[in-house]
Amino acid sequence: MPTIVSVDDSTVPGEGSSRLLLLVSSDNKHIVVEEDIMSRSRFISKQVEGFEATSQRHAILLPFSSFVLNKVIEYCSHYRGYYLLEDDPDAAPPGRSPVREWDQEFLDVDRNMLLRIIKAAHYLEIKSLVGSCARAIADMIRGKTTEEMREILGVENDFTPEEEHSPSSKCTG
Amino acid sequence: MLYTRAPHAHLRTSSSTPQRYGRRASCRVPPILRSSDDVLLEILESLDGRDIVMCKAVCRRLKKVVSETVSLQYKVELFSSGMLDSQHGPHTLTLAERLARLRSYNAAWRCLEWTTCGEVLPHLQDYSHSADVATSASIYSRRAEDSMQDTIMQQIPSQLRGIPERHTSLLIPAQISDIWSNVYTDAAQDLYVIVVGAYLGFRCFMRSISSGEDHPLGCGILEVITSLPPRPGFQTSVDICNAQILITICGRTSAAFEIILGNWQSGAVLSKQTTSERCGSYVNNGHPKAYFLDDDHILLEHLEPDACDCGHSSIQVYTIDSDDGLGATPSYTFVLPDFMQILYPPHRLSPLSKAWMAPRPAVDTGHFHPNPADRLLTVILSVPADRGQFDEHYVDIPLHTLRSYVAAHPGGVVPWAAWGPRGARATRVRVPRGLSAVYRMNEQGFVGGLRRLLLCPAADGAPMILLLDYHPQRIARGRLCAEGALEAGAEMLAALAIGGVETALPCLASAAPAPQALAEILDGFDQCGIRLCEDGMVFLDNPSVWVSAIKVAKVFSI
Repeated sequence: MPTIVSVDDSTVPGEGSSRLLLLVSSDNKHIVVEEDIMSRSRFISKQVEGFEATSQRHAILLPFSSFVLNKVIEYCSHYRGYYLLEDDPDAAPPGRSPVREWDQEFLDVDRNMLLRIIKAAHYLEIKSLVGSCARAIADMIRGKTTEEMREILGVENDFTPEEEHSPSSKCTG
Repeated sequence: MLYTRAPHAHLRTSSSTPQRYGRRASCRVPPILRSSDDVLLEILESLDGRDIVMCKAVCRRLKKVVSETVSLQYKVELFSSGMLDSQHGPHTLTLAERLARLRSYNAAWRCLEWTTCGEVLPHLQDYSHSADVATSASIYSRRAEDSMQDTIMQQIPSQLRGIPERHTSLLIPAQISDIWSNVYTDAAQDLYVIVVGAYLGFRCFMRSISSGEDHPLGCGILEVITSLPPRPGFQTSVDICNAQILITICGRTSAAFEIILGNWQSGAVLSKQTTSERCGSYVNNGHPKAYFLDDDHILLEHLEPDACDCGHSSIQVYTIDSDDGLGATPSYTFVLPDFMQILYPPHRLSPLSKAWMAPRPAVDTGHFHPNPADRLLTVILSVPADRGQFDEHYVDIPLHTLRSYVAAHPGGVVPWAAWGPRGARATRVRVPRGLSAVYRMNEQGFVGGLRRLLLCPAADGAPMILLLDYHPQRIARGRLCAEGALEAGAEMLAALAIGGVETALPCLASAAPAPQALAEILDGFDQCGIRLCEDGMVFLDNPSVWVSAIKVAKVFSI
């Protein structure tokens, strides 16, 4: 359990007007990041709103490792200041669009990592990242057989033999 | 506590770490299942119907997510019924309503009953021109009885698909009203083509279905001079792919036929080619068979084994060159097995299904429509059975298999094993014993969507209509089965590379007595043809006695 750190002065001289946030990962790493980088995350934005209301800033504890967190921060830094339609809570949900080129490269990681990133992105409510990860995972399982999908997703077959052979799970249409 | 900014390098990820990280976590609960439903949903939403169906069988958790989400259910239902959501259709229904309609639509096909709601096409008992009837894309056309120059078009209504009933009529110019060879409708492009034989050539008249006038994009008339020797009884067939029109012409006494590639919008003939005398499909009543595989390729059957270099019957694919039209030699030769007897053309799913590639949405395609990617190529195999009889097997090969092969390979001869049932995940339908002798195909219709109609005798000898409802996608999920599951002809089928993959369908068969009118006229069914319109119209005709019986099955419920 990491120590809860109370941040009473979050402005650092010489860093412009952006304030800093302290994020604490599940492996107890403290990561400092500029607030406006993380504003893409609805979760963080809500936390920050809470800080404003109570005039109390404290570290934000996150349930995933620093490795994943750093990856998410890398994503947010890249799109710092960019408008992404998916992240606009007021915009209509966009249709299926191709994965952005940078995202493709960014998400060229092993599948466990990908699954962790999507989970973190979901926790942090970064819709654009969730969408990109989901499409990357979908690309991995597209066209595969059920058995291959289990392999890729690391999932055991938990159907009973009866269920497996029943028409409804076979989905004969 | 005052803290300083972390070193910048700390924010960068090193690329070597993920591997180690992944291994360490692999022994725990699979990360995917620790994700919330929203995450799983997001992944599933990015997949198409086929993959969602496969995902459903992966584990309980995924199955639960799929079965609880309407949008995924709709995709699955569309996939398993071979339909697509209509882009241009009336979108007044919610997703849940469309799903419910699609389910009812699929369920309605499982019983074949004659409607009690009255004849949709009245006054046809004494109708005597079966040759000039066309059914396509739920549009039925025929000449008006009181005027030889009018053609009546009727759109078969579909309550569940949201297609209203509609009538239009088309005035045929006087000079061509005496005979016409062939009619073709492409509802997606609002196009009606009449191919009329003339001395030494043909004329194709292009009309708009909806207005009955000249088609706004069309040239009106496309004239073709044929180089085949003039002879009576020309037969033609037409296939249309966007602006391209493919006309094949064949005489009854010859197996040679001519392929003409044109542009129906400009009236230009791009290419004209006559095949050799030996490569036609004389076994199939001289019907010429050339179809578009896609925008750039034409598919042609060569039934004579020695008609091509490979020494077998084959399907040849010609590439359309934008300058020279058709190449002189085929780019691909898909070899058929020796004991294949007859090859039928790719069953034309309704041209309505080409709506997605049409330049403009011309017709109301309803809430959903058949998927053009599901067009099939049917190879009929006659396997010797006892007492000199033959068992017939239909091998339905999805054309997208050929398309993807052509897209990925430079050309050449493709052996059957590479593109046949196993490679193509084809569907095999074994036609019930004794049935093969008593029906005859009708070139125009026969299959509507993914359904096959047969006319066969019941136990008491009365004519029955048998509907086999199947789907090629189901076969993609066909399970590997033990050898020996196949019955008679197993050896042959093993040689076809069907053995080992149980491709028999979970096909739903329904039967209904044929209309009384037909039963009285016929003393046998061997001259009988059946057409099936995708919206439930069953059309029976008997060209030998020139009497047609038309009955509508399930029109209002479908």
